[in-house]
Amino acid sequence: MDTFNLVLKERTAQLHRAVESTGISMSILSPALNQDMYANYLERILGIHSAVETTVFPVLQNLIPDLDQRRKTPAIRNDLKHLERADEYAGDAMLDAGYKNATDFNLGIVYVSEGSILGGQFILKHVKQVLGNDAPVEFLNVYGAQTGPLWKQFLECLNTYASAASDAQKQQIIAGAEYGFRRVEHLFSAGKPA
Amino acid sequence: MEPIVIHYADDDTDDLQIFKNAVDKSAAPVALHTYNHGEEFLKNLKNKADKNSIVFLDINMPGKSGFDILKEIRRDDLLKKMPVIMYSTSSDDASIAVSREHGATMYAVKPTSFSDLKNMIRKAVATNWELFKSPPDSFILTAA
Repeated sequence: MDTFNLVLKERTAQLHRAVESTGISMSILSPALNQDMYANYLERILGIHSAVETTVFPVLQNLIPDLDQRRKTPAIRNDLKHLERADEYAGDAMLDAGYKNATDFNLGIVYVSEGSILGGQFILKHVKQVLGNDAPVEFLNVYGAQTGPLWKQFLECLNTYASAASDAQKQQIIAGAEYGFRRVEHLFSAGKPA
Repeated sequence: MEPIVIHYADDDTDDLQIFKNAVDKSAAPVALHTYNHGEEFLKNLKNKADKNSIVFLDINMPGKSGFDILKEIRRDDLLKKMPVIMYSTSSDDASIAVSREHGATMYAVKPTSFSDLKNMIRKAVATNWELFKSPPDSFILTAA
């Protein structure tokens, strides 16, 4: 039988692809990337992770032991400061009326936010190539050499929890991940905040 | 499922890390060994060669280039049947032709997105390399 993360991956594959097709996802890997486009990307990333750290992490504090190590907003704020941008995202909120304050659902959201970190070093290389080595990239390398190990630790936590969960709980984890991908797609598609 | 062993040599440590992340994220059954020097790579490969292994080889490396290593692999009785995928940022015809001439199994251009890289790794892992013969029109390994 597949481990739960493989089920989750399969069930959210289409939504994951939809995020990758958004304007923001395409712009960050564009050869025409400029500082303004990079800052727009980081602002939305801040919108995602600040909501996750403020609202989602507290729900999971007894389930995921290393949440403090997984805080990314200080790095994103430092990068935005270097780019002379505001350190709060003024656009749509990551979490809307569809958000549920339940462990299973929130675990699905963190699957999305933690999974996004593995591609950061790919983006980092492109950002440095296009914007130069002086570009602020603290967030894109936020876990550094710990990127793989922290992902594996999270998957272990997820799979252990899912192995004792009921089918209804597993469905809620999937629903949370689907919600997370949909909200990221929304933030990555929305226009620049005023 | 028994994991596929991927041996990947590249002097670019960023690319090694990105490949490692893509393997982790792809959830493919892979045991990955990375090397950033050609000499180190060959020495280790000789100790770890088995029929469940494939090689990803960057072309432009200082010291022994990917082409040098490919030629050595094809001359070595222990290693010569190993599937070798030349892996480069370049998509120029000359590099592809030289790779084919020296006996590479396939040629892959380094993907321009993390998703494509994951897909390319999954495709490499899903291929039955024991039965694989690269036909003239599909020498290029893509993400699609």
